[in-house]
Formats: sequence, structure tokens, C-alpha cells
Amino acid sequence: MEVGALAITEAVWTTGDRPEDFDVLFLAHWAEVYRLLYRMLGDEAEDAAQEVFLKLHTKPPQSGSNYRAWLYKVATREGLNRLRSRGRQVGLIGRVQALLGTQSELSPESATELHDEQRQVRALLGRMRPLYAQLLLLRHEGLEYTELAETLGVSKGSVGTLLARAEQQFANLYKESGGAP
Amino acid sequence: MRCPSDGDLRALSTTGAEARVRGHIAACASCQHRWDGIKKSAGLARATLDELSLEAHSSAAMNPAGALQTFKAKTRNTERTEAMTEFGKRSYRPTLVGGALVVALLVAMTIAPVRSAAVGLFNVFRVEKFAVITIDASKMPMKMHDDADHARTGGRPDPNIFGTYNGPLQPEKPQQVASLDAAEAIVGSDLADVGNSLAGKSRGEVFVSEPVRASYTFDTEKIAAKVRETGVQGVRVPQQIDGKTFTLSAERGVIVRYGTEQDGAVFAQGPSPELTIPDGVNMEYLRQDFLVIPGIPTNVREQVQAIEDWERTLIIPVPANGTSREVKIEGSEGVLIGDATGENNGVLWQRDGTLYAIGGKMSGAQALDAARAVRYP
Repeated sequence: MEVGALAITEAVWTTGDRPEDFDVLFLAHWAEVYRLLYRMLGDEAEDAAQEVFLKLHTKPPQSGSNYRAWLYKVATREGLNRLRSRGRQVGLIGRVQALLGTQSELSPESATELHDEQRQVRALLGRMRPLYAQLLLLRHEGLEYTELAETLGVSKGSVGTLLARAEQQFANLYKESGGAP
Repeated sequence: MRCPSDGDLRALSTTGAEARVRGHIAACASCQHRWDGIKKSAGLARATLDELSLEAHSSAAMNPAGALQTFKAKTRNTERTEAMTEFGKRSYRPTLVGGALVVALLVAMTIAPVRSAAVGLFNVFRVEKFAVITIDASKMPMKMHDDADHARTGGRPDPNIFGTYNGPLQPEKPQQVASLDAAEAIVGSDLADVGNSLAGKSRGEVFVSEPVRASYTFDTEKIAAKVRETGVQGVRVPQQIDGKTFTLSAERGVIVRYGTEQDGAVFAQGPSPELTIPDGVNMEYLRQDFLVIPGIPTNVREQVQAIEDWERTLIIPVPANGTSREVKIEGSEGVLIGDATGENNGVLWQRDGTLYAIGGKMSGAQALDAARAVRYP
């Protein structure tokens, strides 16, 4: 999709004719929202992404908003909510899933290790201060400082410091969890 | 040159720019050490997040058209979509889904011991905006804490009337520390400062509040029983919250007192409280439930309805005879609140995820001047 066409469509959508233009927005942004949520949640990503677009459908941002920034913000909040809820359910269920939830082409041993590592990293994200987790994820998604500031509602001048603190918190939690610092 | 900030060093680790900063690092062992730590943390975060990317691109779900079809099928067939549509068409529904939860929270916010927790329950993640609503508790449709409750709990509101509460019944008394530097060491981050004088009062003691962790698991049978007991008609308890646990956490805050305890002022700061919403609970629907409860005073309904960014807005109830207005503090959104006498005023604002408050015996103008003079780390 051309950027210009999308921008025009977004402007129109805020003033009327929601269904058709909602479809355009959905198709334009689904992949990046899904990709972000997959990184955070794994197999739960599709359901979470559907929830994000339901929010866009029922309660869209104000006219003139940056839709991509809005979607990123809502998606990270949705993902972190689910991660935190999931954090309370680890234990026996998690261990069983680690054993059963491996249908990739990797060897059973390697696949289990990979899933264990991914689950551990996701759990750490759920334990982080939400703003820090959002910063890490969105920076890793490729957002520049200006975009991060707009998306998360912080000043551009503070992004670097906040990002450094976020990475430090992540490293500390990783170390506490038994990973190599 | 002065030692660069963590942000400057973080930018250096990715852009490699700023020969001036590099020169400083080469001559400053402390900054070299900080930079090494920042590079190490950044590398670790990048590498571990890369691990999560491996499988994302191979999934069959990367199909926008198929996902859109799924979305339309869901929204066409689900009851909640119908409810959303109906809500938009009607200005009032006499006997639809209740919201005893929300009523309870609003009422609870007017009761001091649980106020901090209840306010936090309106927020997902962190506060970015403020909205003041005026509430006359005597006109609310239910009185949730009656004389019998108070007698049973020794004068305190019973926190378990709608489910099971785990957490402190009263905030712990903040711990007094020797100085702002000591407070920084405890909270583990640099603090903002308003200086040695606030509204003509001299700086006094410094306190650090304890972290708060609280959770509430709702029991719709208990809620229904309470609704029946209060005699309010037309309320149906929202089943989506049954057995669901809401968790509130607030990190340590720092309070600096100016002047005397009786005639003074405070400057407080701390990370925004955070709420974890359980899966399957939609806060927007809960708000709608609240808006259609019979008996909610029209002005309260309109005030809540007018809040646009509901999930990130801290709702502050003030007595009907108080004053409030939105203000800007160095580009950040805030609110100025005053009491009926006009002698006590306070301003509350957020900046980069931290909440700040200045208040006490001072004029509104003094509170705003002080807030705008705060020096941030």
C-alpha cells in the first residue's frame, strides 16, 4: 500500500465511513501488530492482535492521530497485560507446555530449550516496568527515538535515558532469573 | 565537559557519533564504566529479543486478509459487538448490565483507607492524564459501607464485600530518611527537586513510602448479595469479572515536607501505580456498565462519559464544593485542585511515567509556580 493513499484514507476514516476504511487500516497494519505481539506472546499473538483491532474498531483514536503509533501502544499494553496474567499461571502448566508444545523441525531437545528461553524472556518482559518493556520492544521493532516519544507519550530528550534504564532493568532481571548477564 | 547522561551514552553505543563525548569517556574512568555497563545491557536485550523473532516470520497467521475475515466473523457473531452498537444508539438503558464494581470503586474512592487502591483500579499500566470528577457520595445509588459493616470490621470498611482482597488495609507509614540523597539511594533512581523553599516554607523532613502490592478477586455472588441488600433495582452484576483478579502495584515514592506539619506543604513524586487487568475483562465495557446504572447522578455520569482516554486516565474525585482545573506543567498534563476555603491547593502532574504532586497551605498560583520550577533529573 502506498503511504500517501493510506494517509488520505486514515484522514477520511476519522470523519465517517468507518467500515471500508477500517478494512484498509487493518490490512495495512495487521502484519506489524501481529509480529510485535508474536514476539511478546508466541501462539497467543493472533488472538491478542484481534483484540487490538477490536479496540480500534470500537474506540478509535481521535481525528488526526498517528494510527501506527496508537496501534503499537495498544498492542504493547495488550501484550504486557497478557504476559503479566500468564506470569501467575507458570509452574506445572508451564512445565507441561515446555514438554508438549514443540512441533517444530528442531530436535525435541533443542526445541524445548528454545521454548524455555523464549518463555523466560517473555516472563521477564512481564515483570518489567511497563514503560520500560514497551520501550525495549518498540525499539527492537525499529522505532526511532521520535516515534518512541510519540507512541509512549514521553519527551524525545528522555528516550535515551529511559531506554538505558530499561535495558539495565532487563539485564538485572535476566541475571536474577539465572541467565548469564 | 560534564559527564554525559545515560541517554547520551546509550545513543553513543548505537550511533558512534559525538567525538566530544568519546573524548570525555576516554579520560573519565567512571563514565567508561557506565558506558561499558550500558553497552552490555543493550547487547543482552537485543540478543535475547532477537531470540523471540526467530519464529515470528514463518507463521501462517501472517495473512492480513485472512485475519480480517476472522475479525469480521467474530464481530458479526459476538454478543459484545451487538452491545456496543446498542450502546451507541441509546442514551439510557433502564435495566441492563450493572456495574456494582464501578459503583463500589467510586464510592470506595471517597473513603480514605482504600482510596489509593481504588483510584489505581481505574488505570491500565500507568497514568498519563488526569480527570477530576465531583462526587457527592450521599447521592450515589448504593451506600456500600453501612453501620453494620463498620461494626463488624472495627470501624474500617470491609474490603471483602465484593470478593477477596489481599493487600494492606491502610498505607504503611512512610519511612523518614536523612536527606534527598538517602531517598535516591533507597528508590534507586535520581529524583526531581523543588529546592530549599516551597511557597515560602523551608525544606524539612524527607520520607520514602513503602511499595504497595494489592490484589482483588471478585465474586459476583457477593456483589449480587450486596446489591440485593442495598435495594437498588435494575443492576445486573457483570459476569466478566467473576473470579478475576485485579492486581495493583505501586513502587516507592518520595515525599519532602516543607514548613510545619500543621501549616506546611509537600512535594511528592513516584512512579505511576500500575494495574494488571486479568484476561477476559474489558474495562471499556465496565465503564459502559457504570454509565447505565439507574440512579447514578446525571452530572457524575456525564463526567465519566466525557473521559476519552479512559484506560490511562487517573480519575480524581473531589468534593462538590472543591475547585479544579486542567493545567500544563512544562508541557505535561496536570490538574490543579483546591478546597472550598481556597487556602489549600495542590497540583498533580505526570512526566515520563512519574507522578508529581505539590500541595498544602498555599494559593493555586503558588502551587503552579512551584510545579513549573521543579528541576528534573
